[in-house]
Amino acid sequence: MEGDLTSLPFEELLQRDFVSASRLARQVSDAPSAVAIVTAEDIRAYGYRTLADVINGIRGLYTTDERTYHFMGGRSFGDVEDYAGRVMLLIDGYVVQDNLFDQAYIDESGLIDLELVERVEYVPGTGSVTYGNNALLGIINVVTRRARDFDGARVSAEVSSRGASRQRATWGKRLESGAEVLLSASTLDIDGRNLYFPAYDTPATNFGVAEGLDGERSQRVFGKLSWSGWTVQGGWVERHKNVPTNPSRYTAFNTPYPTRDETAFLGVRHETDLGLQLSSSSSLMLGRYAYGNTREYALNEDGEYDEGEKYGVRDYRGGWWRLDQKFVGRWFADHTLVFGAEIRDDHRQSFGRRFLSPGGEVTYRDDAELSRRTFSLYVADDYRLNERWTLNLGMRYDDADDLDGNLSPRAALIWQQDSSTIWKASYSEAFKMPNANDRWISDDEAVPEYVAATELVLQRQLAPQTRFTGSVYRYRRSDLLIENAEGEAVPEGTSRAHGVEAEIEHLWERGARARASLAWQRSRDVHGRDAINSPDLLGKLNFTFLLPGEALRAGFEAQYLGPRLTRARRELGGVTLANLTLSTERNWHGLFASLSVRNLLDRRYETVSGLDWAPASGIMHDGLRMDGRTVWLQIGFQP
Amino acid sequence: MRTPLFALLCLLPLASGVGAEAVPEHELKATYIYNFAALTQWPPLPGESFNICVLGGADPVVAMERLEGKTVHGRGVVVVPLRSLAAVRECQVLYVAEEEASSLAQVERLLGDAPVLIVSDAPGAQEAAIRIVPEGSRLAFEVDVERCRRVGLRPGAALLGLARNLRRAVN
Repeated sequence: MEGDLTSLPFEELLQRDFVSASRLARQVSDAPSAVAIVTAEDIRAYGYRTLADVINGIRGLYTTDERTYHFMGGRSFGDVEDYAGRVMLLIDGYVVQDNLFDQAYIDESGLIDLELVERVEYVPGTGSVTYGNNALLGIINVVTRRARDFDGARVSAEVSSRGASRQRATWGKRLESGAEVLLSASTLDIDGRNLYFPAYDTPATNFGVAEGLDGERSQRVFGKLSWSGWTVQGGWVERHKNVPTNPSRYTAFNTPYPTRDETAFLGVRHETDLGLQLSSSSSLMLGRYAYGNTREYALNEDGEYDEGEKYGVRDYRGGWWRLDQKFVGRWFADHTLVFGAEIRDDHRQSFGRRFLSPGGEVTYRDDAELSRRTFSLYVADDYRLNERWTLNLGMRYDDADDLDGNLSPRAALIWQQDSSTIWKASYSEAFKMPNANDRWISDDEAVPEYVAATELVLQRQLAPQTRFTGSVYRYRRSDLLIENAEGEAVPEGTSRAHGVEAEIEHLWERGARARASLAWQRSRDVHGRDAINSPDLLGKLNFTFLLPGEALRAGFEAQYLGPRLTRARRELGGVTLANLTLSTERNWHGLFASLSVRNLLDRRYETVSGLDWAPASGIMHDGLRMDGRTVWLQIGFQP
Repeated sequence: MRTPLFALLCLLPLASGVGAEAVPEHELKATYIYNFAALTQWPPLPGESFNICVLGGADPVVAMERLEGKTVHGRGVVVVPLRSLAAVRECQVLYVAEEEASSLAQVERLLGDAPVLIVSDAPGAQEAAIRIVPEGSRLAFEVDVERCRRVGLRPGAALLGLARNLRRAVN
């Protein structure tokens, strides 16, 4: 591609052929890192059903299904304990983690139904400069579809070979007035099954079989109304899931362990231009979260319940609001200034535990009420030094009423080497405040943790339809818990990770496209050992194309997960998983359908659990066997 | 468990395969818009800058931003991605992408007879003074001279001579 087309005579330009804009998806967020993008077309083509499915297809990322939640792993983090509070989830710019654990829900307990998603961007690395707390190791940025993309009603039903059924209904319309309305509801029901856990394979514990305990129910509602610069949106999800894994060493195997997660948010945003030099975005968000579970304790060696307590019940609730005012100023040539302020009030962070006798009377209860108010200021300048060089400097100050103020800086230099090659070098620091649960169980002794990240990214357009993305990074995490000589956990540990990632994407005619990536990392824990559940090597291959006749699309995925260590430092072997989806390319009399086979090769494999004890069998409960081949079928109608 | 699938990745061809004459759509449209601006006369311009506003997605904005640093009618080009229609009267050129075509009627009401050159690639955008239209593998354009005159804009002969609708009328 030549440099400056504007120097050509117009007559000559008119003779030029153009390449249509249907090409490789472009990053929307302005982060100077190797952002990965998954579009609505990808979601359909590869039969993704949860954000966890989306994440598994992204370079350098993987998820761990603990049969309660799906946890995410990536650069420098893998242990399921190391996920909550360190990866941020945004839905249309609203931060939707709960405010007790600060966890981003990426499974059926999460707010968003993937049918409503226009695109998912994953921004690896730190984001505290923009978002403050919790944006320590990555940001999942979900952009929902517009009402006009549906233009009417759409219903679908889905079943799976493991006893799941889902129904969805969505209605979206752009009205004459220019207003847009989107409403959606969905429900999911998964039967409980028998699952085998080798660690409990003794006669006293049903030979390791948890019977019918893996059931799950989830309901979701989402709505969005936008008109003339205003957008009001809200979502609600309630998920009931029985935990079959016996996730505590004190509870009885093969007894019900029902959990409930409920998250809801309501957001109002107004965006406007105050002249051409200044634009404003104001938003208010209300959020709430509730978590509960019931567990049954095991008998002790004397055949009695400790303290006479047979049941434990948890009831946790969170509530918060957040007000953000952001401006974008273009007063100075070559500078784009972003600045603003945010107030967040976590007015409710309540914890309740009750212990019950076999007869159901409360024998002990333990309640706590916490709160936190955070005030933040941020500024960033995107300074175009010249045609080729851009400097991005930013910082954010967060002051929570229970902690000292914290400054998160970022500096990035972007070099447009030529019209097809961009280099981005960045250094940033981010932090995570102790979450409400940490504060509660540590009697407010918990302290923030930090990360300093350095990254170099190369994005190169090898051809108009071929893109290469590569990155090299180094993370240093500090103020992590480590045991001192007296055996007390003190926040003086440091862990390090570095790695390399490379990806190639290519487009062909008629929507055929492929993406392949390799990620290598070396992640060390606070003791300098190989970090738990952090595979050194991850590979992804995604390929979709129209089958002859052009009525059906095939989407094939292969994912390689390298060897990784359990909490007991047992190595689980590397595994290659494949998924295949066939979907209708166009509606036939309003009908559409999709057939997915997950774990196509029927691989037997384990994931690393967050558990680290051996029950009577003497076998460690540190890995969980995953499902074999599963088939999903979806049929829908859109008049 | 080893997989040969990823050996594919070792073939990272870093050599450039570019060199074709074809230009990415948004980039070509941005260059057209630069030419429309340069070949049209405005009434005396109010500000220091020549404002090209963009109503539409990120892709046209990124392409258009490459025009920054150039001058039109002695003023530096500033590219402004619009979040709302509140400031449209301060634009000299307003590009309305196809996805925002439904805003055109409102844009026209808000602008009245302000000297703003509306350019759009939305099919049948009657409100646009200049429409960019695909013609095979190339991009042609049409000028609505009457609309330009009504708001005090004077498209030059060099521009009119290349417009598809006028070229045909002459022939």
